[in-house]
Amino acid sequence: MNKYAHVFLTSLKQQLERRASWIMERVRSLTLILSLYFLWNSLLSDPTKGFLGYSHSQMMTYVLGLALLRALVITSRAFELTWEIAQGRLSHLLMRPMDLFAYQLSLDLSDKAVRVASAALEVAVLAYIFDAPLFVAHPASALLAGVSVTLSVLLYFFIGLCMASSGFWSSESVGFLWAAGLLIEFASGAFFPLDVLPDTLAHALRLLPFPYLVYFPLNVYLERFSDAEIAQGLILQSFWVVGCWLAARWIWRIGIKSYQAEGG
Amino acid sequence: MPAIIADALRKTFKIPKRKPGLRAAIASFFHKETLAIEAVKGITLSIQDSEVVGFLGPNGAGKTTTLKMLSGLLYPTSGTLRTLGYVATDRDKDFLKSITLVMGNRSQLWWEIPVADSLLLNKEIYELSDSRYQENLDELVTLLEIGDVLAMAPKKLSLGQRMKAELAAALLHRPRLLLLDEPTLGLDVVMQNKIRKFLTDYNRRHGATILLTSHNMQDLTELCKRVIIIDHGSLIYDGLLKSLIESYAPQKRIRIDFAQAPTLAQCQGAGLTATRDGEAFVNAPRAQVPDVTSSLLGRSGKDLPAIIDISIDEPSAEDVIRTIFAQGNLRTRP
Repeated sequence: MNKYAHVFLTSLKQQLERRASWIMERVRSLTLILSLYFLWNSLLSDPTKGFLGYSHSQMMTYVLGLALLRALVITSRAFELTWEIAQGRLSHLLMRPMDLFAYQLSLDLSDKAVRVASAALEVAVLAYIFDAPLFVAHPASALLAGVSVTLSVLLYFFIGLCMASSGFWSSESVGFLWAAGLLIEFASGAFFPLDVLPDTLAHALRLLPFPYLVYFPLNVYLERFSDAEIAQGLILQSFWVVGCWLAARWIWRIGIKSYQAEGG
Repeated sequence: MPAIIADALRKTFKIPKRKPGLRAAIASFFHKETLAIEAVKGITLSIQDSEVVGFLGPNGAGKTTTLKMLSGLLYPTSGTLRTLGYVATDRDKDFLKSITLVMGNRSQLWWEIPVADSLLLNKEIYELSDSRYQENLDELVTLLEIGDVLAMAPKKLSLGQRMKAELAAALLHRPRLLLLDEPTLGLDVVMQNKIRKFLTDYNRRHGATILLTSHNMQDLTELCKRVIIIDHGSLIYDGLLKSLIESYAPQKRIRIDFAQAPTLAQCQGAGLTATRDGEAFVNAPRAQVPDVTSSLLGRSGKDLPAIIDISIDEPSAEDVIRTIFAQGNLRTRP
């Protein structure tokens, strides 16, 4: 078996040992979905009227889709590398014949597998209980959204790697990462669709990679973009993925040179 | 070919520096001052294949920093270094497959899942074939006696069991070079002995080169013929442990067991110091030990009580090294 597939499986085994963390994570996730669901459902109480160009079913699908994309995209253990660097635990990873990024991505994917399976179950149960009006996209739109989500996963991973590298230069980067993480969630559309924001701010955010994490793929699925906008969006998203990957490689190459392998 | 060649190896760290107090804390928020600390000051050394070398020095001497440079984790500030013929910091795949670094207080095992799962993962990471894996694992399980530990998670293991599991994970790929930082740290005497015996066997079986740091002198005396001592980042001794002891402790202690306790006058007459009932000792220069011994035997039952037993002791390495560290440097460099 491929070494990274094995990392994925080993990490999965470790996660299955952590029932308490899993339960707490579910509580957090459910609280978030329920509060967003009820908020938007009451704002769109008249199903005949839309809001900011979203129909009732599109908005409810956005909210439930958020739960899935938060599990699939906006989670990355790459951020944890800051602690590994600060405490010198990165040493064990550097001493083994493997690609650090591939290793970390395998850990991420196993994490995401558990989270997505759990979130999908929650979303299905909630949609059934509340009889949520769901937007059913054309298979082609769903496929394009799937492509975009795959790119989002990579994009968030590389952004995480870039930010975690701050640990090479500062032992206090934890606060920075926490603040930055929150800003990224906001700018990605993981709290609400970016259309809610004033035009100037929404336009400014679109110049950054973050809307491609959640807002863009969800809107591709909701068929709110023209074909040209989708094509342009996917090209820009790919550009950001490659750009962040190159940036991460570059920063880590420099960072490892100043790694102090603390402790031990 | 030497396993390690280091020439004028130097490492300088920049560490943040500030005075105590709130004002200094606020000032350092805007402007951080750093202080350059020279942890390793131009070390030159060469270690041959299959050698077992003890690396010692007081805390903060630069031992661990040197090990980390040899393994490629730290970039030397200057100097040249070849570990197993590679530039260590290039982290070449074949290099990483030939080396291991074990730090006594660092774990590479996955905390919550059975040790066997961590080992299986290492099998894949080091690309070991099934047969090679099984062969290496069987050997490690036997030598380290960890058959019962494999099914347990590290968080459930005692420190000694965990250290053995850690060694198994670190040696599963059968490295040619072992860099061990305090491998017996915190272990009880029985476990320390087992680890030492294991390392001796491993070195003998596979011709592996071992470089270890330890504050446990027994580790050094039992495992290493050669020691390298560094202090304040500089190499102060590189040679045989035996020569160090000989040059540093030129006397041996002759212990005599008498049939009955000698009187004070008898002791003084023979230059002896009485220790307890019926026992006494005399320190003699190495070259004169045979003469002193035969003279004592000649006086047995005459002006001294009858001698039952006589033994000649080397001063312990621990005593010698403790003296060296206490004095801060070596009198002479042998």
